[in-house]
Amino acid sequence: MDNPIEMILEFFILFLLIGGGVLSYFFYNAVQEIKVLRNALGKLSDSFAELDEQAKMIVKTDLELNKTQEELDKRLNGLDALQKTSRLISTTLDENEVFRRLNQFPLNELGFEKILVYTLDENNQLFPRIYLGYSKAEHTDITTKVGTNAKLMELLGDGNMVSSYKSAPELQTEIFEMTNVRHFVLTPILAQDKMIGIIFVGNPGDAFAVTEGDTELISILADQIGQAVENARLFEQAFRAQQESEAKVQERTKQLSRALTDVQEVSRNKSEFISAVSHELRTPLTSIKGYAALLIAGQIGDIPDKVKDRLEKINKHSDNLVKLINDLLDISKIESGKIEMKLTPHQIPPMVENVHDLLTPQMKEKNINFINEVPASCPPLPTDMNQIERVFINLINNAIKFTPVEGTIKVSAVVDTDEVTFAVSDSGIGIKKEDLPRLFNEFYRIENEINQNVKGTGLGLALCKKIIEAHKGRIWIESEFEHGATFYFTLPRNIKK
Amino acid sequence: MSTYIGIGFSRDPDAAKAAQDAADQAKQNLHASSIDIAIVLNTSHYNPADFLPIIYNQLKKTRLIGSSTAAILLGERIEERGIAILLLYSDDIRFETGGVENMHLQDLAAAGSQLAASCISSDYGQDHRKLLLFFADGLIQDLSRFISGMSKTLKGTFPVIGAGSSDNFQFKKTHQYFNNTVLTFGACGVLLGGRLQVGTSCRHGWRPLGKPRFVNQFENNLIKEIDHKPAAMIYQEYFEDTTETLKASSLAHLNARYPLGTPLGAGREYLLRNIINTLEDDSIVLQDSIPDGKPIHLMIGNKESCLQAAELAALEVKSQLQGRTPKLIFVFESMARYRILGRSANTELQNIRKILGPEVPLYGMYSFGEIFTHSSANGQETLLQNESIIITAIC
Repeated sequence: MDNPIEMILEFFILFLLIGGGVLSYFFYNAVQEIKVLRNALGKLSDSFAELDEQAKMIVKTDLELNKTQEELDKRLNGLDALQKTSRLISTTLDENEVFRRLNQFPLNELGFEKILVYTLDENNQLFPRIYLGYSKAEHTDITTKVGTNAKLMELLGDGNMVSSYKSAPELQTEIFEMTNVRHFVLTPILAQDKMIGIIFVGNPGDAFAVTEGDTELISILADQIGQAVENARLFEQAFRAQQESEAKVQERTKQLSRALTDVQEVSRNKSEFISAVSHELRTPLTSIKGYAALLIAGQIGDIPDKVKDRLEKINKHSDNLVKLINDLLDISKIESGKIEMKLTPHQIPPMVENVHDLLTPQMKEKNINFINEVPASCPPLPTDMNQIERVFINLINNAIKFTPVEGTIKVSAVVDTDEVTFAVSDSGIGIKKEDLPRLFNEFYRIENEINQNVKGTGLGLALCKKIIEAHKGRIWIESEFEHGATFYFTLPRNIKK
Repeated sequence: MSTYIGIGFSRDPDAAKAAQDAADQAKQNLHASSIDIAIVLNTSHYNPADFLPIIYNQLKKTRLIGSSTAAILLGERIEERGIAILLLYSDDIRFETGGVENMHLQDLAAAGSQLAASCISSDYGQDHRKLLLFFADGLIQDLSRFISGMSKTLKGTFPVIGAGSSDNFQFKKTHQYFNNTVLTFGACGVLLGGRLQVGTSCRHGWRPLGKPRFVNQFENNLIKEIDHKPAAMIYQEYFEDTTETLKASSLAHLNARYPLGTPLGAGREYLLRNIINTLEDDSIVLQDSIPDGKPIHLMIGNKESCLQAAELAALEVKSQLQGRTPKLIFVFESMARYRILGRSANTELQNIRKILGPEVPLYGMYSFGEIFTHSSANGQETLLQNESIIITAIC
């Protein structure tokens, strides 16, 4: 080594060469690594880009899904709310109650923030029923604006719906200016194709735009309210008519009651008059009969036969007159309650047999066949024996009168739980239909050949009716002209209070 | 030693009558002669001026807090119209209330601090504090500062739960109530202290969708650029539509389903943020700010994930209660979830009650923003969430 400086220089050059080589190696490696990293970064970037693309697809799908889900939820909520409102308002027939219930119901479940419901009053003016989401001042202002908009009211009156979903933009703007609500449905409430009110629903926020489903929902709600109001109004009309009718019935009842009182008064006067006259007649009649009897008996001296005949006629007619007066007095007493029925249990079959025995001579005269079918098992009935016997006598006597020779008279009874029904039938000439209703009237006598020949007072059946009614029973007749007649009467098994 | 609970509700269209009916019912159901506090919730159909004085007088001027809401949760029912009143009286629990208003005119952190200070002004001290429950105007942006001010004053290790007052999805006007006062841009709350055990959980069920993205330019809750593009472009990309169309079709509506999310701590949980506005330059305004430097995602959730999250939250609450049966369940739930769950919203409540006790009264509301104290390795942090459900049970 000659020169140390050279040596150092050579060493330095060598060092530089080696260092350069090493550096080059490292640089090369670094470049390669950067390449790899850049490559990886590129791949990562691609992955991110792919991730973002996927994210976009997810967002798109998610948006669609959410939109559908939201609409579905809204529809379900709306239908749910509709079902509830329907149940609420269909169970009342009071118009005010319909709206009171709607007011209490969370109507915003229908999906609207603002709700106005009006009915039209008798002057066709809007009458607010529900106003949700508006102050009183606000809804009053809207009421005036909508109510005075003739064009809009006419449109609604024709049954048209106006909505932000599909109405003309200028109409939408008009509604917005009135209500300050951008998304809305305005629809008439119809009853029998006539507008009886309107519904307005809406949402001010853009997040809740009106959909086709909303318009359908509100249309159904309007129908529901229309139906409920119509039902309520019909019921109100029917109720009023019924009230008027009831008032008329009450007035008529009062009139009839007054008339009945008058009739009862007249009847009472008549009974009293008959009673008084009968009493007055009976006393002199008794004297006439007494004197006639004395004369006939010859106690005053012998009388010629012709006079005797006349006196016997006087006696006979006096007897008829006494019977007539007694019947009249009895009817009068029963009507006025002066005769009290002494109701004690009595066996009816023996009573019928007694009457049969009593009337046997008359029946023999006409060779009438008498059949007694009153069962022996007929229970004892609470009756006034003399009076009921009188009824049987009257009815059987009557039957004898109208039954031809060799005819049949039958007495029968049907025992029921509460009462026994007796029937006295004959095979006589029967009664014309037009005579039946008046048969039990006092002094009424059917105009026929028999009656013309046989004398009677026309009081027998009237008396029977009074006696039976005094026993709380009923009496009636069934007959067909020329086919006999059957008189029925009932007697209660127990005393009715 | 007992705690008495009485709940009343009315949906009468007349505000005064509804208030009267709800107060009568609540008093009747309380079965106690005194009332410690009333918590009033109402849907936006009622004007607070028409019902609050009636409730306040009917309850003999008892302490009262309350909020407007999109819908009220009562047991397994969801009431979209009505006034509800919860009355509490307890031998074991001490209640301290507070309220602030006009928060939009003052520093939000100071307002938060003021609310917290009034709630702890006369209580028994840190060890006795168990839960702070509050309502704040959900339409106030950047509530984090309010929450931060509140947390600093509370300095506590106890949970804070809150609900952003909401309206009927109009996002126009909300109300909060403090005693007889209707607060404007306000907040009101109650601190529960004493002998009570609290179980609480917050979940949402949303998962990230697509690639992670990074915020390049932001200012508090205003996001200008994401991935070097105008922030609103993220929605344009995913929804393949112009931002104008998206704005017209209500971005707010879309983002309730697809909020932005950023990882919360080291776990798989995400902090969700709703977009409340899109500006001319396609910047987006979130309901609240997001942590700096973390990736953000478009998030996606559905009915099933919501139901699952609620069940997980209920199970977590149950485990915290260590076998004790709760006396009352509070639920603050995002109104966005209500829209997503639709008819399944009742199922969610049924599931919660199945887990925590079918007989336990459940009282709550749909909120616009949920505030909850999350625990992490760094300690506890109270944050505003969106799309979440907070379940809190006390016993």
